[in-house]
Amino acid sequence: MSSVFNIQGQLKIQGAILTQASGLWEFPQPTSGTTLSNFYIKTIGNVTCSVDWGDGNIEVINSATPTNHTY
Amino acid sequence: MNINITSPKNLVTEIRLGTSSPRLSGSVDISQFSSLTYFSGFANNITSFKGFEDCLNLSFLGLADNKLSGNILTLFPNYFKNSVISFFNINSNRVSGPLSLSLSAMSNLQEFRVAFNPLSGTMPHISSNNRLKVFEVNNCNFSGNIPSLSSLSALNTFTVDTNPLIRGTIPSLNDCMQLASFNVSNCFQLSGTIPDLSKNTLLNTFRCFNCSLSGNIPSLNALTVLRDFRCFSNSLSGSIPSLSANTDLRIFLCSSNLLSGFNGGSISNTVSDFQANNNRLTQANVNAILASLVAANRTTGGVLNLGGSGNAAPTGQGLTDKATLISRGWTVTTN
Repeated sequence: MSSVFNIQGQLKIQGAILTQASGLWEFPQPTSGTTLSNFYIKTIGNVTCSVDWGDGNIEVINSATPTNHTY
Repeated sequence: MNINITSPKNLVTEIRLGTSSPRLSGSVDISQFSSLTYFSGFANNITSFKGFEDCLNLSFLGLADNKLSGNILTLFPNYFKNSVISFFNINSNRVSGPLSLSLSAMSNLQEFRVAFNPLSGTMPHISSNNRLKVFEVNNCNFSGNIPSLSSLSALNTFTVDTNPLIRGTIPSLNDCMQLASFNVSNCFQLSGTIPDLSKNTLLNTFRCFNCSLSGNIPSLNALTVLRDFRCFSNSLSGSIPSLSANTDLRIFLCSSNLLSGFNGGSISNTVSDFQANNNRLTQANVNAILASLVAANRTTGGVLNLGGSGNAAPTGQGLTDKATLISRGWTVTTN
């Protein structure tokens, strides 16, 4: 029997973020060239957001500004 | 693969996933966004959704045109007791199960859209939802009666068509004074009469075709913005009502009934599709309809069908009027 660890949220070791175990949208590996269009986030005070696209790219995006991302 | 908003989660009020090409599937979890008021993920291939119960201020939830499946009350536990939600749209998914409950606790509900899902049981009761503007439950598998619409003074769009197991009668629409669009078509067991429409002065679309309705077509005199009226394939009798007041009318389809008269008067030159075939119209009725359409003087053509079984053929001036309409680009069918 194998053990299964289901880690919700960020796993931190000595303050360093090693992995993100849960997120907003989890999906199978998209085919190359798949484009997500008009991804949009609005925040209180229109502060910027950091978005981890899951493919190694992390982007800071402005509040209330549609963004596209191609995998 | 996982998209995540890594910071600042607690300040996010609105998320729109956008659309992907080709479509992305997978699961969505909004539980980390405690300030979220608006979430939409239309037109992807999302198969599961969770976390709304952690978003106490979520008033807009849009997940139409995805691949959500499973029982609706399991997917959205306690959701239909939520007093914050205003907009709920899961049209065109694969969500199933009965939804035989009252939405009375959803006191801020304005739009409720669950169309094109294999939902069953009776339709939810909505008579307490006095802010409700849109109720869209067409192309499901609901049974029982259409719920009462009394006191729904804000109702603008009511679409319950293509629920073949619906029975009973069309409820009174007298309280629905904002009603613009009403559709109960393809509810084959729906019987009784078309209700009084004299209070529905903002109505632009009324469809009740392919039901089992009887009685007369009610007066349409109060419906000055009516554009589309379809009552074909019922057992309606009496006369085609006067259309003189319907100066913006485009489509009037009343074929395959038992109609035996035409109340006369003018027909607007905006009408481009008038079909009354397969009724019991007399020669005088057929001639009068032809004369009204000639007098309307529409020169950009249209479709007129007064043929089929049961209707009389035009004669004399009626034949001349038919030729006139054809010369103006109309496709005219008579006996």
